Amino acid sequence: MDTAIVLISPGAFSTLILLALTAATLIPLVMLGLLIRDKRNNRLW
Amino acid sequence: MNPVLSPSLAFVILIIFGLIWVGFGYWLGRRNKSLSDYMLAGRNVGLALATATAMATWVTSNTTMTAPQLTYQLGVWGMVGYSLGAVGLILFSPLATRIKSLLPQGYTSGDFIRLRYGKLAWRIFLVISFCYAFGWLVSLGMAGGILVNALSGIDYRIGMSVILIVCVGYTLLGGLRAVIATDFIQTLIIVAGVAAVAWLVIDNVGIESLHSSVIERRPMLLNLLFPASIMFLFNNLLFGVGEIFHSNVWWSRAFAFGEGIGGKAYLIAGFMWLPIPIVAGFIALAAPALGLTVPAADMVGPLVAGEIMGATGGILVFVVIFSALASSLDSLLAATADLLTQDIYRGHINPSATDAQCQIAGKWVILGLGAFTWLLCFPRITTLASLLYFTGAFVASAIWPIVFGLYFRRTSALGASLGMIAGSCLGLLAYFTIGFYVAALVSCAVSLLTIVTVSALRNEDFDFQLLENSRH
Repeated sequence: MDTAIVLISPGAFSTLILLALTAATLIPLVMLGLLIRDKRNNRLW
Repeated sequence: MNPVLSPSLAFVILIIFGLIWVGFGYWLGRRNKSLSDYMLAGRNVGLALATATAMATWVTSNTTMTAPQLTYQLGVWGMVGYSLGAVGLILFSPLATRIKSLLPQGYTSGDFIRLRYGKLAWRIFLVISFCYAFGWLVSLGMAGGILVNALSGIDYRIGMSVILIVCVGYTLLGGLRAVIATDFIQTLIIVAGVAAVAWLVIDNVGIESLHSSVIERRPMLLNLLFPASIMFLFNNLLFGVGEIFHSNVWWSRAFAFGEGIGGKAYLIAGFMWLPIPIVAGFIALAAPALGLTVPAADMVGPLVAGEIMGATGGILVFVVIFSALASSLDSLLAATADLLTQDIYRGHINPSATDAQCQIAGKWVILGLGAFTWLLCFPRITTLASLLYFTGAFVASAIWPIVFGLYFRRTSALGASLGMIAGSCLGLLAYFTIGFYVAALVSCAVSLLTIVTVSALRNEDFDFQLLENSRH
């Protein structure tokens, strides 16, 4: 049986990966920022 | 395959991290004075820790190992499909707010079902919850031993025992407070580790040459019309929603987070979880470009990291996977122990138990649960770990009883009970007669049909005020 093939383009692939990777790289910074904010406001626990 | 790390070095890492987690758990546990402190971290967890614990618990060893495996087998949709597991966290966000406002003094998901639907539905729900919780516990315990063995050559039983002892140790000493605080550190380790390996893949291979080498050697992985992966996408979505909506792991956090925190925390955690499987999956696509022979698809992630970073990559992968395992295992131990203490011990065995008695019982339950999991994992019967996949049929049947029960006063208690029974039975039937990918779908549809029909026929009217006023 023939199966339809639509390949993801290099541009779309790069965009997907770079977006996800940039977001993942920023996550620890966001988490630390939130932690410092909660600590300063005495709202950790 | 050859281990990416020597057994002695792996053992040193396990011991150092184990001592840090247990010591940290003990230090945090000194603040626990009441049952609410121990079981729910004082019910006032702030946004940073709340977001991290929701995220870390949902990042399991599956996310760091299975996402690369699925990408290697199902291509782009494998990693995108896996990342849709985040939808469960995002959809739970409004539910978390509702749960906290309806039951400000609640302890478990069982409390809600008992007060909202009565004892029959409560007991059915507990069976579903325990099937899922034990399936997940055993699969995590076994995954720990298997991964430690594959990455370092340490004997399965030793690796599994060390991981269980460490997680039971700090959960026992510090309760949910220790689980949440360690989750924060584990989140940082997991995300930074996975991102570092992915950046190094780009640096060593390059995105465009990776794309062209996959097209040359395994073009189906970049095919947007890969039927098996599109089916996987929907099944994974529904299973994830069912897991999160019913499980006490997520409910206990909704009770533990401070006023107005739960909704925001689950929403942020969902969006921050979304890119992790894509990044972890992307690492697997480097295998063809690096010319790696992959003997087992689930080891593709560690293989790529080891190839690019050498011994450092081995250490990094080991620490990331240990953190991912611990961050889920500790949460599951704590939440299942809460359910056993509150719904079985106080609910069925000793209804007049005081909070102090429950706190002592809770510690024994954590110990017993750890021992029980260890016993089940020890013989390494891999079919036991696959039990978790069965539970898709069970957990999906609880989605509508939870959602309708939280929002609609006319939802029938009998309808909820029948919905969970019929959904689970027909979901299981579909699992065996059609395939794993329809079990959750059938269960969810049957449960919906049942609960809507019975509720329309019975015309019940529930007063939500009863939830707030009840003793939990």
